Amino acid sequence: MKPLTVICCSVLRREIEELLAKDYPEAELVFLDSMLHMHPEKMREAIDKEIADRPDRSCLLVYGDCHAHMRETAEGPHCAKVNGVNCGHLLLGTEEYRTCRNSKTFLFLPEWTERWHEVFEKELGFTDRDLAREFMKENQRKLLYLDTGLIPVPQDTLNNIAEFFDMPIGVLPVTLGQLRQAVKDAINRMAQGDTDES
Amino acid sequence: MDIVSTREELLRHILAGNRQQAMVLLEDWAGRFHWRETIRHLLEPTLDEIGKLWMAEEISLAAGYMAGKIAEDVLLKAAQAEEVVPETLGPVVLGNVEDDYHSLGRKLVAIFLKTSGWKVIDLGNDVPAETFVDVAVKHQAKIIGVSAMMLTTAENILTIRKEIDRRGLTGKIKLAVGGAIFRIRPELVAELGGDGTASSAVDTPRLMAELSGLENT
Repeated sequence: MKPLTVICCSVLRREIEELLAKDYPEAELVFLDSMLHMHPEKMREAIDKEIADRPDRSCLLVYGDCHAHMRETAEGPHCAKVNGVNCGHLLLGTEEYRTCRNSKTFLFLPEWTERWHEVFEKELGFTDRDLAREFMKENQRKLLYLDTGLIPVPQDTLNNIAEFFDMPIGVLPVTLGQLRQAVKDAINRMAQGDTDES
Repeated sequence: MDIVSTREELLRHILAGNRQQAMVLLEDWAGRFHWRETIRHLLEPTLDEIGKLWMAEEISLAAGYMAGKIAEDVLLKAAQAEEVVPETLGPVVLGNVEDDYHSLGRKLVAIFLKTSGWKVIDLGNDVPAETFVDVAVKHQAKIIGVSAMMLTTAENILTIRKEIDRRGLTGKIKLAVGGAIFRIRPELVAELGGDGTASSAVDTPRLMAELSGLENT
């Protein structure tokens, strides 16, 4: 397998830095702005460019099903993607993620929590608090912050979010075990693919 | 104020987030021309414009959502005024495909279909293929409308196509597909066995009419 580059959404920056420093310290890490999720075609272009700039490296994508052509991107030569539909799925694993979705739980990851004004007001246009509350309450029953343990729980920010949406927000401690396994599986697939080709 | 200027003003209110002023304008028209005419001549053309702006990515999620809520408010007002939009069309069975939980688009579709007189049976999120077809058969619905946001969940639509075909209902029950993924990758409509798609939620009454063979009647 060629030297490893990990191309990752900034929403998981701290978590991937933590994992890779232990498991794959030689890997090159590239982080792309998580706000690209609001513009999937720009995200596709940004990821494709990073891959194209590295013809001599194996590229692991730490993304979900975040743009419409992600599978084709991940099936490119010397590429692989972690299995998961989004960042919540990557952290929680399939069973717990499904439980959250079935209970209409909206997940806040640490990075998006720090940028919640930018996400909801600037990008999604919810400058009207009443409309934001109506939107969230109509589509979700719970708000849940995923505490990956790498920064202190931002309680003041969570209080502001709870007040903005007029909904309580819970905190769920999560380990990096599911993400670590997803990364490991994808790297193994990539290595196996290279072996099969040779 | 003429109808064109009024539509423009309504559009401005919606884009500016002035829901209350939009409703005042609509109620004023309904007071003079009744709700049914207001829906047909003022609300629906304005929603068409919203749909075009959505396609061009020129409006925010919040503005699109608010347009849906205004349509819902209007339906409620019409009902209160005993001018219920008659459910003369359908029914249509709606739902998000198995493993898909992105309900907003589906809810907006339901609102816009009801505004246009369609009876809607909404099955919610994460609906298995068999359930879609069972309910369609039970209610003699000729259209199943299925929503998916991402490629991985959209691929589950193929199981609905297979279930329709397996029961010998090909052509008798049409499969309308929708969601962000189909706007970006329209080739998936045919690949996943869909009979048609709409460019936006406000465009779905046209699609349903087309699939029902009502378009030329």
